[in-house]
Amino acid sequence: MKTLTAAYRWSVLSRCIAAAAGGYALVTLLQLAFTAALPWDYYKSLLFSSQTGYLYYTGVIIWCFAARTARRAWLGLAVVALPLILIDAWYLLHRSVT
Amino acid sequence: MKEGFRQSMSWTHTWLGLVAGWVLYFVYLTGTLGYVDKEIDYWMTPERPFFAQPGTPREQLAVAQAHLQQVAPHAASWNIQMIGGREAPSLDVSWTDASSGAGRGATHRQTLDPQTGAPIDYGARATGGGQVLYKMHYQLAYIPYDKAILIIMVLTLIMFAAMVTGIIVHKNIFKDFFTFRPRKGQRSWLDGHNLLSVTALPFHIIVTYSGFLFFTYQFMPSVPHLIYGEGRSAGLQFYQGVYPYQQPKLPQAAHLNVPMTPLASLMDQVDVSWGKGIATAVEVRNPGDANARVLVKPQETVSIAYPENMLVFDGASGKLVEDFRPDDHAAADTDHAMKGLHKGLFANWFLRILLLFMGVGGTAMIGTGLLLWANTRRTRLLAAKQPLHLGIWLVDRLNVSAIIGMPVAIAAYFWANRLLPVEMSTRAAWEVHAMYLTMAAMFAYPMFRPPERARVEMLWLCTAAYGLLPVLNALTTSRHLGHSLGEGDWIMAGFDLTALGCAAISAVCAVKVSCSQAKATVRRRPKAASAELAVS
Repeated sequence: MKTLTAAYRWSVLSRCIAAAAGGYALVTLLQLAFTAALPWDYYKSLLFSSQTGYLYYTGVIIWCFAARTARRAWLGLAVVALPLILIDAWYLLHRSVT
Repeated sequence: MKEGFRQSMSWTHTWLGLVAGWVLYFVYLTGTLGYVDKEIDYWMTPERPFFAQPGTPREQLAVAQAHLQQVAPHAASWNIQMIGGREAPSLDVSWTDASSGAGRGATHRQTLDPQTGAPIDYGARATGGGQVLYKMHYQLAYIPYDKAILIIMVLTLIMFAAMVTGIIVHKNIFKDFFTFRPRKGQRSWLDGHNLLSVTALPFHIIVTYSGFLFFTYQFMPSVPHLIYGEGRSAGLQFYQGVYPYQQPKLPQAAHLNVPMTPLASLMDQVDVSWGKGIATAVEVRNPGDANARVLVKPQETVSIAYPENMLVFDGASGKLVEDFRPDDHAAADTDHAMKGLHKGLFANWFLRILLLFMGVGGTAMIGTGLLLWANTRRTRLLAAKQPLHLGIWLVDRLNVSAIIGMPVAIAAYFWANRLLPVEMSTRAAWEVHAMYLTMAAMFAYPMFRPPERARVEMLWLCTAAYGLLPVLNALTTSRHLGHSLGEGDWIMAGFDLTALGCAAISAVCAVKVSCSQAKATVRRRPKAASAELAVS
């Protein structure tokens, strides 16, 4: 059995954090984006986003462990998070004005 | 991570399964018992009488109405729960006094003899019953509720991710339906794990995913808080939107005495609207008043989403006033349906037994997965002539403790129900303490004993714990197996027979494990094992 290098262990830890915390953050961002984008009452969009939220969360977990390197895992999360952050920021600003 | 998508998913599946496996095993096990929670309640209160011939719903209603008319003619409301569905094994009535100034009136309960209407006070022992037992699958025990459900949410997420990655790992799901190669060591365990997973795959996916939906708000509260503001009112606003309180419109009391129509006479209309035997609960508002209303409610089995459908009758004239159906939006309907699938209240007896088997299959799926983790690594290390490390030492022992010890602990819960003094004031709490003290002992035992030995010994202990339950029942109550079979009391008998079945399975496992261990010691060096596959 091959011995595991320190670099490998750090990579696993990094991916775990990306999957757990990154996934949580991403689903939260997505939840807000749904509330912004869907033309429904708040509770309906919230309910819809939480009903489907764990599918996205699971997707994030799979991505984080399937990516070739830990860096790529984080990068992928950032690529998805960026437009969501923009939508959410626009929504929050717009909402406070009206 | 390993090269390739499938390999990395296999790695993920393995480790997700290991970190959450033991608690998930407990969750699946106690959650499965939730499908028979009311039946366990019944076994755990043996004072509760059994009625072999409860009479028709019409006869029961007549008896209940006569009693309520006598003891509470001017109550604010009456409730009648008939024998028929799973909801109650006896004819139970309750009534709420008219409110005197501030606050609601007191509520009284009474069980009646369904034939004579005579009140029965059976003095049930204090017990947590099946309710406390199945609630452990999301409340755990000795942990504050809000912490426990967060732990469960994280575990559920891990479970779901482990299932999805497990499916990805599989090349031929269809083939796994028909593949089991017994007596091939590691290969057989893997086949068994796959077989248990794929045969009930839709069930596993549904119960796991719907499990999320119960506590999504608590798990991810930040967006609702952002929208509705912090604090308790946020949750209230959200839930009022999702589940608006819907009730048929009922008139105030007219304070004019008018004799009630016989409730039994309403059942003709109920049978026309819903079909025979669907209604088992009847509520009367303002009985004996000119504006009395009778609300007839269906059994839980009537639909998956269990909508609060009701037939509303005028209590004085007996005319059908309203066929009430709550009107939900699509998201709420989805929510109700998913939660309904999770709870399984809709299931009739045949489906309920299937659900039980699938739940046990899921528990075994988790158990075999945990065993595979240790077996694979042990085989690989032995083949490479390397010493076993602490991880395997610990997982081996925790596996024995959890997989055999947790069912033994649940048996202890049942034993405590029969052995603790009936008059003991804290007996319901001590049933739970007995369960967890046993579990602690079960976790400690393999730490001081070689796991091969502990495994066999604990399996025999488990056999005795379940096999002797019917004996214990016979010694401590008058409701022994012969009695309940003779009376046709299938719930009481079903519990005893299931306990015997569990004991039989446990005994078979004990014999098999000791045989295979005897062979392994003869072989000494398991050369064949090295040729076996590696899972990950």
